[in-house]
Amino acid sequence: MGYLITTFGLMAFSLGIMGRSKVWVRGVSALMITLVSYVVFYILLGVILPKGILGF
Amino acid sequence: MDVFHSLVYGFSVGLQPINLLFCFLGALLGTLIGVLPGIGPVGAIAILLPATYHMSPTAAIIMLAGIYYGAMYGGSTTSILVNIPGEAASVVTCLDGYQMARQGRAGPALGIAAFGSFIAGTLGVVGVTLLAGPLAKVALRFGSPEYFGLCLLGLTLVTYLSTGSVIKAIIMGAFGLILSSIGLDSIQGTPRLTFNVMQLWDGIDLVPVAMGLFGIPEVLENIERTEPAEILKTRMKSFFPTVVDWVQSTWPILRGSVLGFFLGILPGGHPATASFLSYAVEKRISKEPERFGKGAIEGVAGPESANNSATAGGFIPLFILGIPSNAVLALIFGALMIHGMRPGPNLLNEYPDLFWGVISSMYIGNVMLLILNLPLIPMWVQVLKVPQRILFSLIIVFCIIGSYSLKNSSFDVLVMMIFGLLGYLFRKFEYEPAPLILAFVLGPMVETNLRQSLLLSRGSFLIFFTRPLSAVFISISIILLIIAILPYFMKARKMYETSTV
Repeated sequence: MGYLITTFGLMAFSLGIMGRSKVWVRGVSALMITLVSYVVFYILLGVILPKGILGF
Repeated sequence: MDVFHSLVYGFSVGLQPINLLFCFLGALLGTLIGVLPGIGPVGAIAILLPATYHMSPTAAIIMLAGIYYGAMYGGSTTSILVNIPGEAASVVTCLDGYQMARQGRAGPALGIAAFGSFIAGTLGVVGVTLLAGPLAKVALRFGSPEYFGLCLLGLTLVTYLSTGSVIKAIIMGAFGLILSSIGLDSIQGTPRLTFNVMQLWDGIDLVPVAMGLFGIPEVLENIERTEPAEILKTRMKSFFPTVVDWVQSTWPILRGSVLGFFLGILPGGHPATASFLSYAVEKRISKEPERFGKGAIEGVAGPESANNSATAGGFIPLFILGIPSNAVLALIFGALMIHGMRPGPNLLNEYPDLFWGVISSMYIGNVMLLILNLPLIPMWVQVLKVPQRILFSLIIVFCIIGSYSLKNSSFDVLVMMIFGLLGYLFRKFEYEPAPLILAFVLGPMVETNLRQSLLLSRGSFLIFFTRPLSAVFISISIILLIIAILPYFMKARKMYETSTV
């Protein structure tokens, strides 16, 4: 499935079990963490991450 | 090159903009990690190891070293203001630091911790600068038996000085040695403990093991914790200690610096041991020992100096002998190996830019930390209010990316997760992971030197006792092991005797 989808899913799940918050807050936080980590590791540091179905 | 010229050369490396940037980043990250309770320098370095793959080796080690000594500075902030130690070496600072804060003297407590750390850290680096060359010359004469003896002594001291049960530490050390033997035998090429799993033929890598053992359990343990940390609300007029504070702290700082440095050099030496010992020494020689635990400034100055000095001292066995003395240095050892460098007596001649660059960066980093730390204390206090779920979610992401990016292998992610679960269970049952990680790093070195020595002696173990240095190292190891295990045997014998009577 690739880095972006799996990380978003994992983050949404882990944020859910780590503390109570509204679904949209959890979703936005998971999306932000996924995108920031993608930019830092893939774009800035050049770390190869699994592409999956999205193709990037 | 003499020491002065080497140091000047080191500063020419350390002052390069890119190295300055990573020194600053390391010091800043280290302080942040020291401030945040629950994340120690071991976990942080394990998590950040993959970020160093694409850096130059010098910049990578400068940053990792900065995280290590930066964490020692940062650890005191939460100890003094929140009564929660940011990391193990600051546990003892809580005793008097928090009491000082409660008495409205948080400023001088934070100030003396910062100034003491700076003085001790700098004195420690001076010690490394002066001792590195002569020790490297001695270490060049070491053969396989001496290295085997030294590795054995390091492993024994780590288990002997562990805070919990010695038996549990020995078990963890043995487990680490077994893990290090997974893969193809380096001499005969036969697979060991691979269970027909192809991915295990190359052995297990340090990064997923360290990330799993130190990163994931932090997250799991913090999920369990429900109560938020209470930050002491206090007004800080000035961070500068008074003249009386300085008079009371000068000798504890100097004593802590010397004690910490020599404990740091010792294989198995840990900054936490240095800080505890310094506190005990200060309390014992004080004319008013009853002040300790009630806000005595010496109880902050001594331990905070000792842990910083021990941090610097620990780089001597790592760089000169190639033997890491604790889990953080084992990870820095791993980082050096990832960059294709083998720490040891030849490092000084083969990679002088790295060695002297890192040493000079430690002088620079200590100054940076002093300048940065005190004005930034209000910011560090705010950091404590960051939602922990965001922080720990990020740790999970770092652990997954870090273990995957090593070889672009999902198998390493699986290894990291298995060790994450194991690390959590180890903590629950009070098994320290530090002896495991150290034995895992030292394992191949122990095995290679043991087998080389036995090849030299045609299978005779007498080679370890006919060479003076290896005989001394091995004898000390055996004596320490006997001292550690004897009480358990005595206890078992007593129980047997009482049950038969």
